[in-house]
Amino acid sequence: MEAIGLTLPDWLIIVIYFAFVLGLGFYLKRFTRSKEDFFLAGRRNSSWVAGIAFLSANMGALELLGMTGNSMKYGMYVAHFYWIGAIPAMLFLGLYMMPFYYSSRISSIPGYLKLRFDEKTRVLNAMAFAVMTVLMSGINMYAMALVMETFLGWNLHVSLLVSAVTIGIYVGLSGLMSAIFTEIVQFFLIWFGLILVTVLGLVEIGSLSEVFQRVPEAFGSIWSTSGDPSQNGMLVSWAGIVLGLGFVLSFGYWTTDFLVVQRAFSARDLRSARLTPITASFFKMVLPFIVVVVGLIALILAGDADSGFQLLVKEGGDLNYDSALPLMIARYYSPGLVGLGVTALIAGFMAGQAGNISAFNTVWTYDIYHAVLRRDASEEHLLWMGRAATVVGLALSIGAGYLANTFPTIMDYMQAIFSWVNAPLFATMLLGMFVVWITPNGAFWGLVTGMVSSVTMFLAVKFDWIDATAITLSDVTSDMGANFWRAWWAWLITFALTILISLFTRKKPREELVGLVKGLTDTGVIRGVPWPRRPEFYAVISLVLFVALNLIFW
Amino acid sequence: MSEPQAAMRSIWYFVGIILTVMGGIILLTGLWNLLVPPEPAADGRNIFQHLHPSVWWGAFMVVCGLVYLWFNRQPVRS
Repeated sequence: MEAIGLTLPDWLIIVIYFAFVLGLGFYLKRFTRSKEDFFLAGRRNSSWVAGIAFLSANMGALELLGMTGNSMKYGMYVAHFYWIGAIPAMLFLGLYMMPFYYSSRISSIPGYLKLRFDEKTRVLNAMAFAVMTVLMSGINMYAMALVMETFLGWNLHVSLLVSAVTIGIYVGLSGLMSAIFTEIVQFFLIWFGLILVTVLGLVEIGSLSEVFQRVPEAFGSIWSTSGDPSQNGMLVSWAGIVLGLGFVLSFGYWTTDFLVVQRAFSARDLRSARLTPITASFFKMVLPFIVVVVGLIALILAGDADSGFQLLVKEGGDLNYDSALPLMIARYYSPGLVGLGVTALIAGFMAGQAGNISAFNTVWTYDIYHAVLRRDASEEHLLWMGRAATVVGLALSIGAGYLANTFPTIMDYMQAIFSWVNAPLFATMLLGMFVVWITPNGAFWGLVTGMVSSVTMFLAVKFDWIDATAITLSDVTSDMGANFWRAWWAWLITFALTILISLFTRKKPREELVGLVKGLTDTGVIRGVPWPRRPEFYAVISLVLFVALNLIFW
Repeated sequence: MSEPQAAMRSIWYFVGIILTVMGGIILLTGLWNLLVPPEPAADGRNIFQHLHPSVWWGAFMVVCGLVYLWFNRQPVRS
């Protein structure tokens, strides 16, 4: 397809953005003096800064492109990713899990596994996380290349090089600190750059209620058609949504994925750390008004021959749903605004990518290099290694970017990767934090079996060894439905096996578990202060809004 | 004796800069297109040209950016 093309003001805005983030990297280098500055942004952020960065690390261009595309494919059911698939888990993290993480002063999630269980569980998770991060970076690269191709006509090679060099410079200079700074900037650019697509889309269609009247019935609600999988766009039942997405995938991602949790570690105290995911939950809840509403408007326009709106077509002839958002920007935005919209997508990509790379360099340096290869490394050497890992991580991501270019849709594969790594890990973390007698061997072998079973189920369906309906327990299914159910089974296998093996293996002494397990840790609940200063107060407000949204769009 | 810590600008200050600069470019582009209307866009592109979204959205961004700059003009300790 011919590139949409940009005018001079559009180019100016994109160039200013790149110069700005590079300048920020150089500015912040002056303040990056220790490994704690580089890997944990000095642990001095407020809950607002950490909360917005927490959400931004998740809200990459990948999310924006993929979720808008999925809204065309699956309808309003995509809102589940933002509501039941996020809010309960984010609140649970802030209220119940953050005290264990923050109080133990760890630098990473594998670091917690080392303290709670043992070295082998830590290294297993660190390796799995490192591989997952590189794969995710690859998908991010693909998302970026799609934007570049659609708007600028650039090919994959140029897109990969420009983005990798920029991220390499600013993350290499000041690590998590510059990653968080650019994530905050990206957050604002995304809102200012993309909310206007929704506004102008509603102007074209007429109103939000008009949008819901014009989409197929199966695409317009989130729960009322979930009793029968064949009646909704995602071909999944309420049980699959609640167990697979709402419980396992959501809790697995939001409470154990170091990419997002690392932002909370940068908070200045336990109260700020607990407020970090709670603050982020409010912004997460309103994101469907950008991505899902725009996806539904694109669906209406694509079905109207007079609208002139057509999705891109892939080489095999399939529709490229992920091109919906860039094409909507081209449809509604005038010169200058197009540059802002493209910059919002590029910024989303860059922040998501920087998040992956800063998490990768921390886990590699602390949990693989320092833990296994060089136990006596000095602080200066670890700081150097963090910067070297940034470069190597980016090089591996470029390779994964070429691999991701062969994927059919972005979000389906993202959820597949999460179901391999995060779903089993959530069972391990849940048992580790809340059950004192879970043993190191129980955790390790439960986690290994859960991860292997999840990958095996994926491969078995992919290569037609078994039918996907054997996993989803229904006659119809979609890739996404299979992801939900595979995550549930992987979690259940890990959970059951961890308990079983723990019954017969040696436990850790209770004194070694102080600060790591419920009952032996300060919960962070603040007594004797007014309710408006307590994290619990904001969690209740968030929960009420979450319930209200589900009822409104039932 | 420890080295005195430099004062670091708040992140919100940088948010103010980027919103003001980008909003300013968008606003000026919108005003220019009001004075010198561009060629009609290709079919299905820029369909709301007549509403001049660059002008009002650019102005909104500039106002927001200036508010952030004003309230965060003092550097904070690192």
